[in-house]
Amino acid sequence: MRDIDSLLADFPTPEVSPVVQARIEVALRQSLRPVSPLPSLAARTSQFFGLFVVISVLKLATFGTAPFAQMNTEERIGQYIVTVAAALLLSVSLAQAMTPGRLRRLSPGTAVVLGVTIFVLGIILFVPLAGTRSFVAEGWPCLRAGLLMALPASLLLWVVLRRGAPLGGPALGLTLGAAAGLLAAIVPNVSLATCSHDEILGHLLVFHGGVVLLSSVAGVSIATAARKLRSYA
Amino acid sequence: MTAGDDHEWERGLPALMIRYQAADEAAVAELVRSLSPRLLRFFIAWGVGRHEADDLLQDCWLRIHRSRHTYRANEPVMPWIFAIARHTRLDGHRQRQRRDRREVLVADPPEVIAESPVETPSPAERLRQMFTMLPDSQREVLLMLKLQGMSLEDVAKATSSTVGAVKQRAHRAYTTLRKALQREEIE
Repeated sequence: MRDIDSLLADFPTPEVSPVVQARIEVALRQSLRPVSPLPSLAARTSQFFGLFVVISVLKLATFGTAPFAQMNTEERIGQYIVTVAAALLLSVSLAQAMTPGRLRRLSPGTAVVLGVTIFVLGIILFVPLAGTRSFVAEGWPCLRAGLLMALPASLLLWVVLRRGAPLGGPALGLTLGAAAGLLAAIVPNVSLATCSHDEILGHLLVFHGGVVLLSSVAGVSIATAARKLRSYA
Repeated sequence: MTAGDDHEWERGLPALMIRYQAADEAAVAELVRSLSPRLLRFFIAWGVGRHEADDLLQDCWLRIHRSRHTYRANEPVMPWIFAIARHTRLDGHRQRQRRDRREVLVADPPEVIAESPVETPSPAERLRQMFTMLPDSQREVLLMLKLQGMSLEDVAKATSSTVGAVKQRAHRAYTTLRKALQREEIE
């Protein structure tokens, strides 16, 4: 062990070339202007959570509250709790991604898995089950509408996120995609109002869960492609 | 520079960063002067050539500059800087891999006749050779802990992981290096 430590201690500290140092200083000075530090993690989390709330309210205003009318009080409370928990989890994860060098108690992958698990549990526990007539025909409009909504939702989240310095790559794409999917299809299950049938467990899991899944995959793919493009530069 | 000087120097970094955010030119010069050798050492320890390490250093400073608003007062500076340095190195590595794949060998390289006797590698070269045996995640932890003198918590912040994961990676790295040294001694 001592030998390894002494080898590491012997590793030389290189001199920085004066030319390189001068070049760096000139480059930094050229665009030097005062900047305001980012707000605290709590403030950033509430910005993302605020987006969830605003978009949910807009969706409720657009599609109405028909799905909620079919639930009893316990189911409604249960839905609110799991939706808020999933939205908070993803908001914290996105807010953390805005600053480099922060201790992350929750990795992006864990946050997404937890968020989706909470959503699935919420459906299983709190959504009233009923029969359906045509699984695919009635599910497809929900999937399409959810995916179409995920696009502007992800753009809105990105507008907030890019005020920081996100470094995460595909992991960040995964969180952003999942959050956009959650906003579009799940929060607060209002897209059920666009369905022309009774809610059923399979429909929610496949078509509404499918929005989150496809949106997450799209997030990872776009982030990976962006990284590749950067490495071509 | 002693360990005490190091701590003193590190304690002064947050104040410099705040002045940097306020566009103080003297703070920029001071930060570049004091942090660049550490960043350069970090890049060189990954086995890249001097020219490429200089490029990475410049790229890293541009990224630091663009992200300077994300530094929050009273937070340690080193994890913030090295989180950016780590991504700069990773992106540089990907760029190099892409470039190497595109380059085509147009002729057989000339045969190299070994000079005798074989020179003993320098400690730095020996270390670099041994480091190639380590996975990237273990190597970066060891470099930050031992070459940069960062604390476990700071390394965890810089690598977006946990203190437990950093300890485990450092332990595994030491085990691999110790075995390599033992093999070297036997030979």
